[in-house]
Amino acid sequence: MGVIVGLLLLATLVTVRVTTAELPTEALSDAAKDFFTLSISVFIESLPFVFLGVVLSVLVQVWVPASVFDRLLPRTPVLRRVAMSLLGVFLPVCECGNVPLARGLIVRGLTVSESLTFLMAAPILNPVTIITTYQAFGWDHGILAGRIVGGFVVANLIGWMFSRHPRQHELLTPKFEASCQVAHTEHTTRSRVRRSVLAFAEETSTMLPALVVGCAIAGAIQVGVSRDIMLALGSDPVWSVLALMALAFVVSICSNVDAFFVLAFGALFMPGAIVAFLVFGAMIDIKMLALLRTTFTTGTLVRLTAIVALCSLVLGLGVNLIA
Amino acid sequence: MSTESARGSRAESARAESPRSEQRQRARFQRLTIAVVAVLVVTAGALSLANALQGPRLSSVEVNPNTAIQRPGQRLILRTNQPVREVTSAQWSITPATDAELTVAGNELTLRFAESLDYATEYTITVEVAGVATGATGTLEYTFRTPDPQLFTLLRTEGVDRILRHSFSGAVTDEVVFEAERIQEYALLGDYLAVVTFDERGTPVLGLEPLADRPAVTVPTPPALAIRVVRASTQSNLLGYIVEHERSGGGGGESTVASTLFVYDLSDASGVPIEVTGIGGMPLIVVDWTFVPGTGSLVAQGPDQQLYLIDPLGSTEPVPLGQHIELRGFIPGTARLVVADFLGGSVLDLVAGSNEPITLREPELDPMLAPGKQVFLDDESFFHLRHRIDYETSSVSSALYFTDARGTVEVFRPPSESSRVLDYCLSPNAQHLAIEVVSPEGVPDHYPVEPGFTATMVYLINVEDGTSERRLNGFAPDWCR
Repeated sequence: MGVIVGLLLLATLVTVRVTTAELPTEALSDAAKDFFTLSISVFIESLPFVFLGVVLSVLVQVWVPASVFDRLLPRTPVLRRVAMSLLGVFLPVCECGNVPLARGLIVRGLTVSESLTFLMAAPILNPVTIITTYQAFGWDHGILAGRIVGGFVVANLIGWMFSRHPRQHELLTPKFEASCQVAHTEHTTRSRVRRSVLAFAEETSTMLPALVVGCAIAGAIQVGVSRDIMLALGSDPVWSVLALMALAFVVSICSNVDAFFVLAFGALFMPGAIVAFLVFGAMIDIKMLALLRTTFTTGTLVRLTAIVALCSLVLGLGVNLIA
Repeated sequence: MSTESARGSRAESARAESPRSEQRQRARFQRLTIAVVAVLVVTAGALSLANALQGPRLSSVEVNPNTAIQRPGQRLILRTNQPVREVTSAQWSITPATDAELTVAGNELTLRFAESLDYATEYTITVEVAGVATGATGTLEYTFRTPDPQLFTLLRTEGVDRILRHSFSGAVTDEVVFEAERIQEYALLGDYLAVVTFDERGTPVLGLEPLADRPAVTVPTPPALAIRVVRASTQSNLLGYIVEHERSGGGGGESTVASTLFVYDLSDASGVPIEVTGIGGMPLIVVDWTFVPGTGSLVAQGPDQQLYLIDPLGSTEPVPLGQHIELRGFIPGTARLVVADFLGGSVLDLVAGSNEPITLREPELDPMLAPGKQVFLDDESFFHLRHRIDYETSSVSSALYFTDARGTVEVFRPPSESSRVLDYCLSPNAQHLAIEVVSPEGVPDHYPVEPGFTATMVYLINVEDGTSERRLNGFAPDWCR
């Protein structure tokens, strides 16, 4: 049934595209055009990473034995979280791709705090992000070092804090928590291939609507908020950090390419603001919150956002003070 | 379910058995969250305050000292960590004092030097700035040292001639970089010295002698009676020289001596010199020529005194510049060529394509002094040589003068009354003069081209105050080539 609905939807979109391709676009206002352009650009940029993340998630959930993680990860909780924060080195996907993978890790039995550590660190501590940041800024003003060190510290702080929660499963949405239970029971009743297909369908049908909504909100806010205002704030050591954090939250750009995006602001904004953009935006943005909401409760996300934002602010202000 | 998860479940079950304990743990988590947030808020507040009180700081500097000593108008960019307010002239300084203009745009302070900077000099720039957003003040200070360029002279002695290398500051003196039985002239071309020597039959040979670890190159020339006026353009990797060679007359006529200008492109792998031709590709006899500074173009003078602007590597036709008696050189840092005419002089602006006569203030000097070479600093000020000839003793004494709108002053007089100035020229940055002085005991060396004297020294003089800076052995400094 779902396949039929999907095909019908696809056919409708193709029909609309074919029949309206030649129509003039003057009927749309500039704001509407900007909205569609910005929303679709974020969506298209994120989509491959989401699918890659879903595939990796399915592999982790279905094909990697649970004992692998127990065998490979250290026993001490602190060291486990440190190891999880460095897992992104082997999984170079952006933050949106890491959400399904983090879900897979939870399903496979890792704690919520460990998965959160991975989720926060992996978009920054992965080779693609490090290389693109280096290409954009080199070693100038400690931006690259600030991003790597800052990302590592913030992710582990988040992991440590949530590890102190007495019932970590309460940090998850009831629906996702229930699906974890179902996944455990399915292990014994279905073949791996069938479970893979079902997990892929489940993850994509959960992620894609959230991605669409997140991209639409990001596009709408970018149209609504004047960039001139943010640029006017760029000359202040404090406001510049807040302005670029707000920009990172709104534009929802993937961590693999965000360094090139913010490079254009490098001449106007202070180095600490750039670092805050690169750390905060890689961990939390509108699109990411929409995706995270599929897995974590609102309260968890409020705490998560507040602490990541404050950490990024401190990091940015610190860099501004010394760089 | 993994072991970890199982452990977590057992722990949670245990906790479920103790609601009070769980309640305490929840409260502890809440307190922990609040504590983390509070610590971060306080830290952010403290850092905000510190940032607001801290003035702008220097984050990077962009300057190329190598070009700053070669050309006027070069820039030094100071970048601050935050945008700064406009800066008045009272808020910045540069030592030693140098004519410059400072502009501010955002977090960039651009200092444009009106003149070339001096050699081997430490410059310090200090700017008092205030942040645009916070108003907090700070002092930017940056110090850099300009390069200590090398200078070459030609020393002719009995049996062997040498090219000597010196550094401007005096750290290196009289270092022999090339020697041969006879050296006629030379020019500096990047890491090479283009040197005219003579083979065993006395035929002139042009070679490129490496200053760095590179192979020597012999420049092919037609069978030459003479090679002269060797000049180089390091920026364009070009070497130019006039070859005097026999050209057979057409139809069995007598052969004549032709002076042909060739250009050798160091970056051309073929290694074949290019003959510089006139309009329509016709052979061009060249009497004198010079490169346009900083370019590969040249100005050549034919035997009819017609000047041509020529791009030897391009396909464009030579541009006639009119008939003028003599090339007197370019005004430093410009493409404005001073030429001598029958009734005075003109300035040919090769960029604007204009030709303006120059009216110079008449030097207030003894009219009995014989005039010599003129070198121009700008359209109104120039150096000029004057010789006093004592017909009774057959001796000549010289002095160098500078004339501008304010009058005429003596710049240099050789220490010995009977010494005389052979030649002189400005340094590439126009801040020093190299003056060739022949001592009374100097005798002619009788070279057919570029003749010189023994006992010749080069004096380096500061243009600004006329102070003598150094003396170098030899003559023909590369500044004058």
